[in-house]
Order: sequence, then structure tokens, then C-alpha cells
Amino acid sequence: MGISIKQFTEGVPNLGSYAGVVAQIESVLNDSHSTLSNLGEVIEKDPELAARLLRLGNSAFFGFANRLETVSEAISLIGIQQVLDLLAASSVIEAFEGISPEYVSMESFWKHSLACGIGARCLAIARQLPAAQKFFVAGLLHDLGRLVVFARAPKQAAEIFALYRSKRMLLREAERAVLGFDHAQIGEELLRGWQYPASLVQAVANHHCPMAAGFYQLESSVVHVADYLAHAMEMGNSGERFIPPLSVPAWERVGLTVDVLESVMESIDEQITTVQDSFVRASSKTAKLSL
Amino acid sequence: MPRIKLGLVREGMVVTADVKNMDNMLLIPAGCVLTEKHIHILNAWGISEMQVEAGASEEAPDILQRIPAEELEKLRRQLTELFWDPIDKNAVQAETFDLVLRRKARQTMKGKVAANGN
Repeated sequence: MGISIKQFTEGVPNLGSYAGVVAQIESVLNDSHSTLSNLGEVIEKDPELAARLLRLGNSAFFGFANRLETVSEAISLIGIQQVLDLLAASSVIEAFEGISPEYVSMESFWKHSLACGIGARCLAIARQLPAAQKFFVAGLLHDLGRLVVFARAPKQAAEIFALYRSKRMLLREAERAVLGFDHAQIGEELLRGWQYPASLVQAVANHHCPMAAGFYQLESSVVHVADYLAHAMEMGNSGERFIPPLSVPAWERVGLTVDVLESVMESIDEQITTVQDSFVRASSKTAKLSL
Repeated sequence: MPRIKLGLVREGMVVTADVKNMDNMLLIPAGCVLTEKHIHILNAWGISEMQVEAGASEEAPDILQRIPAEELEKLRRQLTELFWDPIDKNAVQAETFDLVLRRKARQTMKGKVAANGN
């Protein structure tokens, strides 16, 4: 004990929708005279960002089958809000790139997170929910709190893992025993501080207990199921060695039939490589977080 | 109804769910018998998979029957240990287990083929 959730998140720079180029994009969006091509110009100023957006736009993730040639085309087809969400998510990954936690490789951590994001987006599409991209971002960031523990509290992280390895228990239970709270609560605090939308904050906060998410049960349940599938497929690892319990009420809340599981898993297998290439490839000029 | 990859779609198969593009435009309606022209259209729109009538696709023999029994048992044991809850705790978990077991079996067999090819 002895360290509060606030202490974990204090001083972590704001990485939400206001980091770097994203802030510029927002200022273009806030200018009523701006057009899609203005926005494209802002993104094109960062060639790596532009290349990443086009790569992702032309991948199986969006399914435009190599038809996107310019950033403006990508924005008009993918949608401004979705592009912003993706860029914000990618800036979070980049910012955490400088750290090398002892207990899990960053590649493995983000692979698990991206698989969860892809799965959450597929479930949202299958359920015909609006703004499916939001679910990708929620899935991507669901375990971010764990990374903060690894990076900012190595002593507590060592205690957590010592306890975790000493008996059959879930990692989040060990977190609670050592810290008094778990990674989902740290993620909640962090994203709230970055002023992410409440639906995203709550989906991250409740991904292990989606039925406690009140108004945001559906969002939380989608991320919960996607997290479960990413674990079951052994896609990367965020430190947890078990495939965690599935909440049946959460599955029922998602409201899909079991036949959807196979196509979600196939989509994760199909999209993971491109999505990893698009996101986990830091631009050398991006400032790294000093955690 | 099985969803199959476009690469496995053949002329004469019957489409069982409307095929639409990203803009929700109908490309091929359910019930249509596929011709070569349809397959060109699907390729042109970058459609990666679709639903066709069960039995129309050329089904490979079940992977769980192709993998040697002792390897299958080993995979089953490894996977069972990973799940926190008992496999049969609920229907979704049972289905998930079956799917990931098959996936692991396919990966194992693919590894064998690659190793034999070297």
C-alpha cells in the first residue's frame, strides 16, 4: 500500500487527443473554414503519420483494398473522428515506447492490446453499434494502467509478481492485494485525466466487471469479451498467464450468438500484423514519456 | 452458415447472406448462384469473406482428426490449464475452447508441413 491511484497518474503527460499533431488537427477542425484537404495537409506534414494512416486504411482492417491514395481520401472514407481516435491511440503507444518493463515485453503487451482492440471493433460491427472505432481504442487501452504500474512502481510491481507467482491467482487479484486497487482503476484515472469520453473511460475501468459499468455496460461488455478472446488466442501478453473468467451476463449484454466467435477470431488473426505495423512503429522524433 | 474466405469461393456456390460493400451498397443478394463475374466483382471490392450455403464449400477433413492423437491431447491439456474457469462452465467458454484448440492444431500441423518442407 502507501501509494494512491492519483500518485500513479500524476505527472504522466497528457497524451489524449491533444498530443502533438493531434492538437494541430483539432485546431484545424475547430476552424470553421477548414476543409478535409486542410486536415490532410496537417497530417501530411508528418510523413510517417501519413504513411501509417494510408497503410492502415488500405489494410484488411478497413477493407478499402488498396484504393486509398491520399490522406484526404483516407479521412473522407474513414471519418474524421475515427482518424482522430486512431491517431490519439497511436500517440499513446509511441509515448510508452521508451520504457522496458521487466515482466512483459512491450511488443507482447501491445500485441495483446491490439488484438483486444480488433476483437472489440469486430464485435461492435457484428452488433451494428455506431462508432465501432471507439471500441478499438477502448480495447487498445484497456490494460494501460498495468503499464503505468510496471513503469512507475517497480518495487510494487516486483511484490505483485512475487505474490502472483506464489499461488494460483489472477494478476489483478495480486495487484489489489499489494496496491489496494488494480490496473483497470489506474487506467480509468489516467483516461479521465486526459478527458477521454466517458464511454471509453468506463469501458476501460470495468473491463473485468462490465455489469458494474452502469450506463456503459454494453461498451464494457464488448471490451470484456474481446479481452477474453485475445487471451484465449494467446495473442501477446499483458502479464496475466491465465485466460480470465468470462462473465456470462456480459456476453448476454453484447447480444450476439456464439457463431460470431469464429469470425472475430479470424479477423484478429487476419488483421493483427498490419495493425501492429501501423501502430507499433514509433517515429524517432516523437518525444518519449519520462515515467 | 459458414463464412468462407474469398479464396475458397467457387462458381456455383449459393450466397446465403447479402454481400455489401463498405458503403452498404448491395453487391450480390442472398440466394444468388455465383458466377465468375460475381467473383471478379467481389475481388474488385476487396470483399475478404462471405457466407455461402453449407456443404457448398469444399470442406477439408476435420483438423482434429488429422492431427496425431497424442499431440491433440497435449494441446488440449496445455489449453485447459490456461483457462481460469473450467472449460464447460458455460456454452461460450466451451465454444471458445473448441475454436482455439482447432486454431492451435492448425498452427501445429502448419509447423510440421513447413518443417518437412525444409
